[in-house]
Amino acid sequence: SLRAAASGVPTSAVQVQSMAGMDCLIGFVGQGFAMLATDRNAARSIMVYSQKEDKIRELDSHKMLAVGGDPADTVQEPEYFQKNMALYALRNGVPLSTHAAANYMRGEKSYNLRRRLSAVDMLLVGYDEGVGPSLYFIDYLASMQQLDKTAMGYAGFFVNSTLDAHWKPDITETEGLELLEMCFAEIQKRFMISMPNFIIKVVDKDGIRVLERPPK
Amino acid sequence: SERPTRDATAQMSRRYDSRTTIFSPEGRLYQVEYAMEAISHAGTALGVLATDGVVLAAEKKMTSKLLEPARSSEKMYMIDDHVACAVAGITADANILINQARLHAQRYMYNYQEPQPVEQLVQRLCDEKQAYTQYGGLRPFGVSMLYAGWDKTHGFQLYQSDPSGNYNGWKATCIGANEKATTSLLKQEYKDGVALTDALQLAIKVLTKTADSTTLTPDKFDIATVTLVDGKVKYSQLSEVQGQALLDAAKEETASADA
Repeated sequence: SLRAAASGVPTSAVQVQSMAGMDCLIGFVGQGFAMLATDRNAARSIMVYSQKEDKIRELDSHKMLAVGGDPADTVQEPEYFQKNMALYALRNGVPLSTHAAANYMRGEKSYNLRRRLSAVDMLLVGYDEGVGPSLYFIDYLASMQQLDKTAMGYAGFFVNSTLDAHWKPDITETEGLELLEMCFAEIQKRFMISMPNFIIKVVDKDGIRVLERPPK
Repeated sequence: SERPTRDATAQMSRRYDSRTTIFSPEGRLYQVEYAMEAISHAGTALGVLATDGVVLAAEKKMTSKLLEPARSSEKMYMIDDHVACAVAGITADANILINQARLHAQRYMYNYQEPQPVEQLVQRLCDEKQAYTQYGGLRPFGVSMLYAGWDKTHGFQLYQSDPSGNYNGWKATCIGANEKATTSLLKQEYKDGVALTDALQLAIKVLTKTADSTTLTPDKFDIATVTLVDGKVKYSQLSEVQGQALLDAAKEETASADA
C-alpha cells in the first residue's frame, strides 16, 4: 500500500535486498572447534575504504559472529545483541548457550524485520561445554539453520562446493586451515571483486583465537 | 523515656496498617507480616531435595464434607515441563502467581528455545511479589510457594518464596501451618546426599507427624516428584495407591523403630 511504501517498510520481497553479497563469510565446525573466516574489505560502489576490516565480532569468551550486509546496521544490530547477552550473563551468572543465543538473535531480527529494513547476515559460532562446537546460519530475513559448514554472500557461489567436497565431520584444525586456503584461492581466482585479505578466528574449549594465515 | 505501653504500640501500629507500601517505625512491613500470618493457617506444604530428584508434599485442608473433590490439586501445580510448584495460602492469589509463572516460562522458551533456568523463574516471580510491597498501594500476595525443578546448569533444585518477595534455595523446607514443628523435624531427619526414595519416605514421615488430621489418608494429601527419566524432566503426582504404599511403609518404619 502507499502508506507502507511511504514509511519505508518493505512492501515486497524485491525491495529487501541484501548487501551481504559483497561480504564473504565462511564457517564450519570440526573436531572440538569451530572456525569462521571473512574477507577484510570495506567498500562502497567503486571505492575501497579499507582492506583491514575485522568482520568477526567476539560476543563473549566462547561465541563469535561473522557479519555481512549494510554498513552501520552490521554494527548496530550485533552490538545490541552483544550488550543484551552481556546483561543476561551479569544478571544470571551464566552466559547464554549458543543455541539460546542463536534463537534470541533470530527472534529479535524477526521482530525488527516487520518494522524496518535491515539487511544483516550472520554466521554465529560457539563452543558449549557438554555440547561442543556449533554453527548457526542466520540471514537478513531471520531464517536460521544450524549447519556443519556454510558460506554467505557471493562467496557461497564459489566455495560451498569446495566445502562440500573437502569438509569431513572429524576435520582437524590444520585440515580446516587448508580447506580455508582452498576457499580463499577460489574466491581470489574467480570472484570479480578483489579480496586480498582474509581473517580467520577459531573457538574451542579454551576460547577464541585469531589465526595467522600461513605465509605464501 | 518510658517505653510505650502495649496499648499504645498497638494503636501506633494500627496507623501504619492501612498502607502496604510504607515501613512502620520499627522498620517492619506489617502487611507482609499479616500475609505470612494468613499463610500460617493454610495446609502444610513441604519439599525435600534428593540427589536424583525433588519431592513436594502438601496436606489438603478439608474445609467441608460437602465439597466435590477437585479435579486438579489446589496445592500442586506444573509451571513448565521442568518446574513444579506447591503453594500455601490464599488459593485465589496462588492462581494469579501460577499463571504469571507459566507465562514467564513460556516467554523464555519462545525467545531462547530452551527451558528457563529454575532460579531465574523464581527470581522473576519474586520481583513481581516485591513490587506489591513497595508501590501501587495494593496488598501483597497471601501465598508462599515451593518450587521444584531441574535445569542443565544446576541440576535439581528446591526454592521457597514468600509474600515479601524474598526467596532462598533449600535442601528441605516447608510452608503453611505447623511450619515450626515441620522445620525442626526436617532439620533432625534430613541427610545430605539422600536418594529420592528416602526423600519420599522422609516427606511422608514428617507430614504424618505434623498433619492436622489424626490419621492421614491418601485423599488428604498430595505428593509429587520431579525426576529425570531418559534425560527428560518428569513431573509426576503420585496416585492414591502409591500414596497409601508410602503411608504403610512409614507406619512400618515407626513400628519397627518403636519395637
